[in-house]
Amino acid sequence: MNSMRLLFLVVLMQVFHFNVRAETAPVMQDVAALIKSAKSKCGLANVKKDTFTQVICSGRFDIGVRVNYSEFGVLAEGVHTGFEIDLARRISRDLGVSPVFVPVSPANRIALLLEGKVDLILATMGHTAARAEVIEFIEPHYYAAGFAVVAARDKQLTDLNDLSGKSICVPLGSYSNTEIAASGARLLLFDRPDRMINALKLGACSIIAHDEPLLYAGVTGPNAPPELREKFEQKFSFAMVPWGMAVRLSDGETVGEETLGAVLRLLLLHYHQSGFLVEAAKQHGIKTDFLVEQNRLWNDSSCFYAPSYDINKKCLLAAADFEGPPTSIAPMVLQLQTWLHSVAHFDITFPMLTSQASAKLFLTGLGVSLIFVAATILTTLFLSALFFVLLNARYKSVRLVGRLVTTVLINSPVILLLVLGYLVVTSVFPYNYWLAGAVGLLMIGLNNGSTGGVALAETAQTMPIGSRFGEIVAHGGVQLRACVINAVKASPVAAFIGVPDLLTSLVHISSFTGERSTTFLIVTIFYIFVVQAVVIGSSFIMNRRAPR
Amino acid sequence: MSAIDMTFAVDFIQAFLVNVSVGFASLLVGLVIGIPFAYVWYAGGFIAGLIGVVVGLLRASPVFVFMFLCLNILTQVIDGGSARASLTPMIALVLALSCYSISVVADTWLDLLKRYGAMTRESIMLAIPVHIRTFVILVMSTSVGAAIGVQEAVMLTLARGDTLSTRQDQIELVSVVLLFFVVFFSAARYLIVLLTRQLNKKSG
Repeated sequence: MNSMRLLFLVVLMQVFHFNVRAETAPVMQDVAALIKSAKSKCGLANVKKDTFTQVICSGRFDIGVRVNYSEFGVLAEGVHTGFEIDLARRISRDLGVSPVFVPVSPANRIALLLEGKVDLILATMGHTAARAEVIEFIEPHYYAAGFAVVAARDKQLTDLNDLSGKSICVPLGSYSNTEIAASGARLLLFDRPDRMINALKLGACSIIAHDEPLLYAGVTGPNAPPELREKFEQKFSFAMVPWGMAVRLSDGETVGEETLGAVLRLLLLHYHQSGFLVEAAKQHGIKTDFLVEQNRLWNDSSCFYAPSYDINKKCLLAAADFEGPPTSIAPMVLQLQTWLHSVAHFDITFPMLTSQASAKLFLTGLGVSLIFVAATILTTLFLSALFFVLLNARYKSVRLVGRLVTTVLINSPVILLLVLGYLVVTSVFPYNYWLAGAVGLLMIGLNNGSTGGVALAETAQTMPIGSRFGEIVAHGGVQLRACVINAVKASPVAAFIGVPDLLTSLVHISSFTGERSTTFLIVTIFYIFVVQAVVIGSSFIMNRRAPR
Repeated sequence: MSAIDMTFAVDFIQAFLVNVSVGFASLLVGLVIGIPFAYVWYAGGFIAGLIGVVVGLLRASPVFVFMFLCLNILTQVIDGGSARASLTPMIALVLALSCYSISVVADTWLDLLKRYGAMTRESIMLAIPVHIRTFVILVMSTSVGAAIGVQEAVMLTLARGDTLSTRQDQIELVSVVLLFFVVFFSAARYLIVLLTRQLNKKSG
C-alpha cells in the first residue's frame, strides 16, 4: 500500500516538474534563472556553495516540519500530509528538488536549523522579534493566527482576566503563554498538541490554549471529532501572530539575491498572487480569511510592484514582540552557553538571563521564594507554639479541640489544604497574589505547625511539671527542626494556588522559551541550597540552645 | 449538580488506588536502592562518604520541584507518541517520591546496622513499622501529582470541582475528600502504632 502511494507521489512529482518548466509567471521566470545560475556552480570544486546552491546541486531539500499538528503537518503510516506539507512539496517541486521531511517540535526547530540538520523550517512557527534575531523569516508570511482558549461550553470565560487562578494547559515554547501567565493562571506545559487535546478529552485539562487553527481543526471546527466539538468551544482568542518559514541568517535575502531566502520570498509572493495558498488551505479545512486578504494585497500594485519586485513594507505584518529587549548581560550569557556547548557538549541555555522580560520574572520569583521560605519558617514556629498551648491548655475541652484540629491537619495532604483554603478565601475576597501567598503560608504553616505542636506537647509530657516553654523547645528541638525543614520543602507547593514563586516564574519562562531542563534544575538546586541553609542554621541555633 | 454521587465515589476509589500504587512503587524503589546504600555507607571509606552526600542531597530535595524536573527531562527522553508517554507524569512522581524513600530507608538501615551489625530478625522487626509509616507518608504525598496531571484522587477531585457551578459545592466536595484522607491516614497511623507494639513484644 505504501509503495503504491510512493509510486503515485513520484509520478505526481514528475508531472508537476514538467509543469514548472511550463510556468510563465514573471516571478517564476526569475526563480528559474536563479536555479540555472545555481546549477552552473554545481561542478565547480573551488566555489564556496551557499545552501541554495547545495540544495539545487544535491537535489535534496531538508525541511523541518510538524508531524502532529492537525491539518498543517501530520505524519501517519509513514506519509506526511497537511497544509504546510503541501506548501513544502510545492516549493521543492518548483525548485526541482526532492523534499526530505525532518520532524521538528517547537522546542527544537530553531536549534535544528542552526545546526544545519534542516535547511528550512516550515513548522507552524510564529514570527517573533526574538526569533528574528537568530533566524530569517521569509516574508510575506504564509499564514497568521491568534492563540485560542478552549473550554467546555458551560464554562464562563470571556477574556484573559477570567483565567486568573485557573489551571490551563498550554504548549511548550509558545510566546503567547506570556500573556496567559501574566493573567495569573497556572500553566501546565505540553510538548505535543495531540497529547494536550487527549488530556482535554480525558479531563486532565479543563481549559486549553493553543494556536487557533490547531484547536479549530482538532477540537472546535467542523472537521473535529464530534465528541469534542459538541462539548467544547472556543471562548476567545488573542495575540494574532504571523507565521513564517525560516532559514539561517546566512541564507537570508539581505545576504544576497541568489540566496535561499530570496528565492523563497519570490515563491511565496507567487503562491499568494496565484491563490495557491488559499486553495491548499481550503483542501485542509483551514480558515482562509488571512490568505484571501493576502491574495488581494499581493495582487495590488501598491503592495507589490511586479516590474522591480519591490515590496511595500507596510503590506507586511510586523513580527510579534512578546519578549522585549535583551538584558545587558545577554551577550555574556550567550558566550557562556556557546563555551559550555563547545567544551562539554552541554546544551544548556539560560533564557531567564537573556531577555529583560524573563529576567524580571526570574528575579521576582527568586525574591518571592526567599521571602516565602522565611515567612513559612516563622509561621510554622508560631503555629507550633500555638498548637502546643492548645494541647496543654488548662481546660479539657480546649485540649480536645486542639487534639481534633491537629489530627485533621497532620493527616491532610497539603495540596488539598491549599485548595480548600483557596476556595474558602476566594469566595469572600477577589483573588490576587498577596491573597494566594497568605493562604499558602497559613496552610503550609498549619500542616507543619500542627506536627510541631504535637511534638512539643509530647516532649512536655516527658519533662517535669512546670518546665518553661524555652526548656521544652530546647528538648524537643530535633522534632521542631524536622517540621521547619518539611515546611521549607513544602513551600514550593504553594505555586499550585498561584503564589508567584521561583517555580511559577520558571514554569512561565520555560512555557515561552521552550527550555526546561536547565530551568527546572535551577529551581531544584535553589531549594536544595535553601533546605541545606535551614539545616545548617537550625543546627547552629540548636547547638547554642541545647540543654546542658 | 450534587457535589458527590455514586459515580464520583467509585471513580474516586479507583483514583485513590493510583495514589496507593504510586506510594508502593516509590517505597519499593526506596528499599531496592536505600538498603544497599545503607550497607555501603556503614562499611565506611570514600564511597561511603559519597553515599552520605547523595543521601543528604536526596533528603534535601523538595518532592514538588524534583517532580517537575523529572517530568521535564522525561518528556524529552520518552517519545511523546509512545504508550509510555501517558505514564510519564506518574513515573516523574514515583522518581520524585523515591528521593524521600531512598533517604529514609538508607537512614533507617544505617541506624539499625550500627546497632545490630547486620540485617537480623530484630532489625527487620524494627524496620517494618518505619517502612509502613514511610509508605503512609508517601501515599499522602502522592497528591502533589495533581500539579502535573497524574490521574490520582486529588486530580479527580479538582476536575470534578471544575464541573460544579457554585463555590459552596466546590468547598463541600473538597471538605468531604479531605475528611476521607483524614480518616484513612488516622486509621493507618493507629494501625502502625498497634503493629509496632506487637512487633516490639515479639522481638522482646
